Amino acid sequence: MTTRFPKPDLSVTVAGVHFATPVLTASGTAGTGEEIAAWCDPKKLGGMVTKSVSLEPRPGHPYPRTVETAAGMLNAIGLQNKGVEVFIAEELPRLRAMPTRVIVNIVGNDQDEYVRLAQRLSDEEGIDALELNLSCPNVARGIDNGADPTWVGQCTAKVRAATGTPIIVKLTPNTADIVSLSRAAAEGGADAISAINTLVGMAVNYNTFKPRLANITGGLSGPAIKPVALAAVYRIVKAVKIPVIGIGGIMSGTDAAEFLIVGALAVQVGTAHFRYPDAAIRIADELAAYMQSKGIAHVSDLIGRLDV
Amino acid sequence: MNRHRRATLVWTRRVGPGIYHQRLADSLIARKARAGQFVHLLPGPEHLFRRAFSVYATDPDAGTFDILHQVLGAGTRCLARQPVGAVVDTLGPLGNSFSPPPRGLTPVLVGGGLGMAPLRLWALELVTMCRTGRKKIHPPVVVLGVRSRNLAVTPYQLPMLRLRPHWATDDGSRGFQGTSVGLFAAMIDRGELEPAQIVAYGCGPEAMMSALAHLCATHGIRCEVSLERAMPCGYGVCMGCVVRGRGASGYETYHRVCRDGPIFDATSIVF
Repeated sequence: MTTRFPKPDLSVTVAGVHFATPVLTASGTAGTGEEIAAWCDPKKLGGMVTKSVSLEPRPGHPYPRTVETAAGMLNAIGLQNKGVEVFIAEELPRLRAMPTRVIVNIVGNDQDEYVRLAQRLSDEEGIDALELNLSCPNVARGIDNGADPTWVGQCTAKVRAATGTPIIVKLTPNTADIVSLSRAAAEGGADAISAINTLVGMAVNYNTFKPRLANITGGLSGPAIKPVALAAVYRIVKAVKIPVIGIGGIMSGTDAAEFLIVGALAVQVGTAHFRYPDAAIRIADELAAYMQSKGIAHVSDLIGRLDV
Repeated sequence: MNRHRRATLVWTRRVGPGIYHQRLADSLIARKARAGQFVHLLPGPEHLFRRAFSVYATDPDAGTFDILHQVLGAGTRCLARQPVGAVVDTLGPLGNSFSPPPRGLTPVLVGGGLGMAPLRLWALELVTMCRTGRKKIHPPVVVLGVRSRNLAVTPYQLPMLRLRPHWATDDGSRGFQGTSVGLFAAMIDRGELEPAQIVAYGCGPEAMMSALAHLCATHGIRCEVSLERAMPCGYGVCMGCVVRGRGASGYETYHRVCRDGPIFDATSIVF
């Protein structure tokens, strides 16, 4: 008879927020809750990170916005969203009613916009944390600023001063030194770091000579970027004391486990949602099964277990 | 709650050059799918994304649904080669469906290429509405266009209902020489169709849908179009499959084809 280990405990606390599982939805891949709620039980989601919300509505980029690539995809959506006021009026009530943690991802054109967004959202109930998108590769100035440690530190500090809500800073991998960005965010007062956002990429139609994305370049995500993301998380974890949330190509429970082993406290699942609407829950279930098979009782016993 | 389905491949028939008619078994999709809706199939485990196909036929009693597609890339090729009995990971039925014609009008179904797939199911539903008399409508007129006669796939089971498509071919090798929209325009010009007494439903390439929308606007014909897009998610979260459109108050916005469509009132799209 094989030994049956007890069902493991997946709960984690990140940035003072308690999550039932360490598997959250990544921004821009689970909408604002309405669509995904038709496909899964939100109670089983670790947490829901919304699509980026900006001060003013943004129309987004023209079609085509996505391309499937080898083991991944490129996207250039252009942060299409209805703006913070419509978000608060129409989408937040629905999110608030969902029995899961709600993290609102915000994006601004400049530091002042991040501050105004954070202030506006701090007045609202039911937001467990804010995630600062300092790293979208598809909008002018998105990376330019996000790859500058000084700017990242200033922006984080200004938002920190403006809100008591926990802040997660989402970093770009499109830089020579993501570690400096993570230090700047930590020194600016971030409660946690999430990494990585997508890598800048491009695809060309060799028959028509046209780029496959209307925006010409886009952000690469999916299994193709997982090794890059793991290395980034590994380096950030060693550099900062605040929690790190790992993102990048997680398709299975063991993919999630790899991020936890290198030291991430939680993970976000993105591209996998485009294949399975209930991806975050499937991955949490697979993670639990993996832990059970290894006899690991609590997710904290897995975090940072990297044996080098 | 919706769940992804495990549909089983019943058979695959090659019905034209690179064109495949496939039947899959899933009782829920067979029962629930309406004309215009689509299914989102994962061609095989090595593929990251699903592929969207309009529902071509359903048999609620047998618990099957059919798709019609042309091999265009690795995904459709993989699907066409799946052995009988293969389990195909499926989401569906997804999206909205065609809306019934107003009382007393004749529905005209205008298809281009494999755009005839959802129109075939719609023709069947319309014939059923006529027969049961639940809706006072006239039997549909079906106008189909393809590049050449060898691509003119006779819509499954339509001849049994005495619905004979009016064919148009780009090269004139079968029926009218020109597009299906050209044939539709000619039928109006010849007085075979009276604009005030018809409603149009279209599915086909975007340039064709644009021409159809323009023609219908000129004649004041109500028109619904089915649009096609590359769809990563198929259920509304990725925002990839967008089309430029007009919102309720006329402002320009991007509609999601998967969730706001794939069927749109032609006037709500900016072609």
